[in-house]
Amino acid sequence: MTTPSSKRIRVALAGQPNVGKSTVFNLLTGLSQHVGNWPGKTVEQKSGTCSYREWTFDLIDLPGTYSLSANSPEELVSRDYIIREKPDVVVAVLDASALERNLYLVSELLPLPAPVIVALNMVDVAEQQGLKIEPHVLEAALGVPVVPLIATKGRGIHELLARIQDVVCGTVEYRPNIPSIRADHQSVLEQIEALLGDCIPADYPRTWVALKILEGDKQLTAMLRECLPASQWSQINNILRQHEDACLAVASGRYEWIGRMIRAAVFKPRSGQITLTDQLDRWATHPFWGLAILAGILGGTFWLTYAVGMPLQRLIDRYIVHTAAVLAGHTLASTPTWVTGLVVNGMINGVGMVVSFFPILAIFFAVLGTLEDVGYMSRGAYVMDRFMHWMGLHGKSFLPLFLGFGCNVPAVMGTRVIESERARLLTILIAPLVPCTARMAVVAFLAPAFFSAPALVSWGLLAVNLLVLALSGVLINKVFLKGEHVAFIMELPLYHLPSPRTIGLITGQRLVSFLRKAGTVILTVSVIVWVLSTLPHGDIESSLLANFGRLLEPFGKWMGLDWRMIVALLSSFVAKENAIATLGVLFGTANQVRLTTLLRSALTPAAALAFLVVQMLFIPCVATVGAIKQETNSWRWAMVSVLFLLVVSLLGGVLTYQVASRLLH
Amino acid sequence: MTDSTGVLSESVQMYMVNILRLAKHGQPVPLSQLAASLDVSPISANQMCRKLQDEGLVIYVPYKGVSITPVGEQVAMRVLRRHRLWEVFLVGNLRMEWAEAHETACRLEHATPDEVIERLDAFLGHPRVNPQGDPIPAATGALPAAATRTLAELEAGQRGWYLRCTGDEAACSFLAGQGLRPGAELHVVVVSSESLLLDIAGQNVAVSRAAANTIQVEPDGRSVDPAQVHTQSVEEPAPDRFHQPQSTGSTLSTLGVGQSAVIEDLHGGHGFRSRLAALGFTPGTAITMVRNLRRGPIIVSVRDTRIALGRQEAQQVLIRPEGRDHDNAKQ
Repeated sequence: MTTPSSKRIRVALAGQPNVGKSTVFNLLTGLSQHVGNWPGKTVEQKSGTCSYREWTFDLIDLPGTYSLSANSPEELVSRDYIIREKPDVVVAVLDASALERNLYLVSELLPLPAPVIVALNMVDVAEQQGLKIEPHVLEAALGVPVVPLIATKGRGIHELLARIQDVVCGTVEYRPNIPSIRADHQSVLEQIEALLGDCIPADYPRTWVALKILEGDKQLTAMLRECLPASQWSQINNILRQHEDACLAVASGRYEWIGRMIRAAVFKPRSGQITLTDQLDRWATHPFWGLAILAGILGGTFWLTYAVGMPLQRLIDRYIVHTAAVLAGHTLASTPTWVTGLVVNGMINGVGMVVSFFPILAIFFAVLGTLEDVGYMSRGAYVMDRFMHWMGLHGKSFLPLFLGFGCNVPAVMGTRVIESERARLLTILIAPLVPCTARMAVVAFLAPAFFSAPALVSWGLLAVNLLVLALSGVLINKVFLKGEHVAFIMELPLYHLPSPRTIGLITGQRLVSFLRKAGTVILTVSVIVWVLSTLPHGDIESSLLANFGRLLEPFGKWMGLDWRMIVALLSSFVAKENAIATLGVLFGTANQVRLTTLLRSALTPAAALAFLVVQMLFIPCVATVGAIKQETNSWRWAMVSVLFLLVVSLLGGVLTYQVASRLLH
Repeated sequence: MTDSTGVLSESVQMYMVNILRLAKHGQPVPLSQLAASLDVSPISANQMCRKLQDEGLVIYVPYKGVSITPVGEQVAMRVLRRHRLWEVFLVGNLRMEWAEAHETACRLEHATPDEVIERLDAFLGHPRVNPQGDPIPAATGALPAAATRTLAELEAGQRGWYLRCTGDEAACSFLAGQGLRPGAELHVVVVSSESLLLDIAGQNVAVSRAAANTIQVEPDGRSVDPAQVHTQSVEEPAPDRFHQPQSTGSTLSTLGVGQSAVIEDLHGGHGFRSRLAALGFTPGTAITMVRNLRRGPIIVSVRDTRIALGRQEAQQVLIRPEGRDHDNAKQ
């Protein structure tokens, strides 16, 4: 063990999903977090720092995994980090109420070179269930430090940091009790170990490699096949063939070891009462009530988002954006008119429009963060599994799609929870059809202007989008992306009270990434739109933008749209909410009430409906296209997505206009 | 020229096998489809088909496609026999993934002398179907007049094993989505003039009579259990994906709500088994059913954790009643 010279300690946080690992991480790092990707992987990497006494801790949050096999990129990332980067300490966060399953990861961590400290989280939950765990006995049994923790209340964190220091300084004895393989496979393991020769990569423990080979680990097996001479490899291969079920034997061996730890450390077993989670799940996973609850939660989320968000939005628009525009007008009164125009019409109006619907997004993300934190989302996924099967997907794809109601960018990124490449790609392709808050904001603004029952129109448009989404999913699945069945395995975590801190951080992170987008891309484009709408003569009617829009007007005719509406659609490619901002610039007013009146005289109801349908189905915004490119690692799929939605939206618009103009006449 | 596959060029062999594979219901294979399957341009496919017609191997009707002649069929069957026997060997003995085995077999089939292939056949114990459930032609070039029937020929109450689907691809992939994969057990529940109602591992699936005509099954009886074809013919236990649960062992999907059982074994691919094992689904573990609606996903409780599993996944988990052979089954 090396003692760090500069009093910095590198700590890796490991743990299974749903054990409160992010709560521990958030508690430790607070706002010092940095969120990025692991090099070359679409796996999120979170890092941060914290100080305790005179020491600095560099924390890295390893992805939540159930084991350290090579079954997923997350598992590979975790074990490669521990083996290659050699953190000073690995903290394994465990859920005390499901200790048996949680110790499995510990049994995989112990044979690796880095010292392990067990953070026994949720001891309060375990106690509520009648479990009594003695941490010091567990500590003796495992041979590594065990720190009880209630992360949601911040209890035990300092003790954890102190124990990390102790281990790094070598002031406590670190003698882990490493699980051994089941007796009936011991000799096989030794045989393999002997055959490995010099083919062990530096830093990899020999026994561990042999064990992984026996387990059927794809990455290490491929590596050895490259390196070993043919004769030795065929010997190993022979052994492996005779022990086909070794992966079950190795797992059983680990669970037997775990059983011994548990029998020692769990003082009083669970009393077998019906837990709150069981009671709630009776309803939440019921085939009928489960759906009803999901629909209720969805409806409630929207209601809250718009009922609370919209008035706030109006307030921001009236007081902040308007005041800024007036102030800027006064300040710049002595400058040439084009400067005033650029700042007031181009910049303030463009960004103001975005900032003003910030509250809507904040509320949506907060509600969603709460649902995630409480543990409800996996129930929603379970209930939706039946329906997702129509598209060749399973329940897990529902989670990112739901996120898409807030913003499509996190939805595309959220597809990382899906294990199969094909299912992931399919989910990414249909995700932009989930109407995001930006699009709903445009609808919420335009629908009341044209229709006497705006709520009905809004829900109708939402339903159309979801219908198109389902049909597209079925079509893509049946025709283009035919493929194998994807296994649906998902843990349903215990419900627990939401932690405001965790929710706040998640919401904050999502909002910051949104604002960053608003602050850069949208500002740039609203300035460009203003410039294009001003040059060359200073009025819109003869501007470059108008000419380009008029060029496309013949196509717009089929949908009853004039050039201004087409330009608004085009600008929504940059950001959906731009549609209104652009209309504001094109109709020469920042006043929303006046804009509504102007629009009403410029469009027939049929054309307005067509416009709304097109903008709801239109090509994903720049940020989403960027996310698709990043997540699929190919421009091809990003282009496919854009073309697909272009065709779908234009067809939808033409169809709507042609039908509606006949019906409404 | 046509009496031994060894003399024919590799590309001729590939053409013949692909024509045979793509031909359904005796309809000619469209040239575009053939060209796509061989990854060649339609022009070169056109030239080749004319050449093959001159040699009496196929009949080529412009704008309609190519069909195979009896002589051509013989040639193709020989190549197919080589291909599928290699597949059995590569998947069963060398534990390769099927897709990989298929590609390798494509290369080996052209380089294997008759003598070697007969030895391989004997070594494998004369298997009748390849890992995908497609029949292996006999050395004479004839397809085994196996106990295969179409599904439409089964009667109500009869049991069988699904072998393959010869209908259009949309229908076949739909059936695959319903759990109908080679080796899957099915019961015919009701037969009407229009359709059949099947029970596939606890799930009811209605199949139209037209579709049933395109589905080949092995009826229960003297016929060979397809699951056994693989395990017996190949000395090693066959790769996991063909370990279909046997009719006698009960699977997790049949466990009632509130009931408990003990996990006996896991089937399915390696990755799947390894994921489940990590979650605590190891042989000998107690498991309790929390929600099971006879269709759709289930929820079970294992080692104090609630896990949702797709129905197909649940069918890969074999269970036995609690209390029997406790904890010693695998040791």
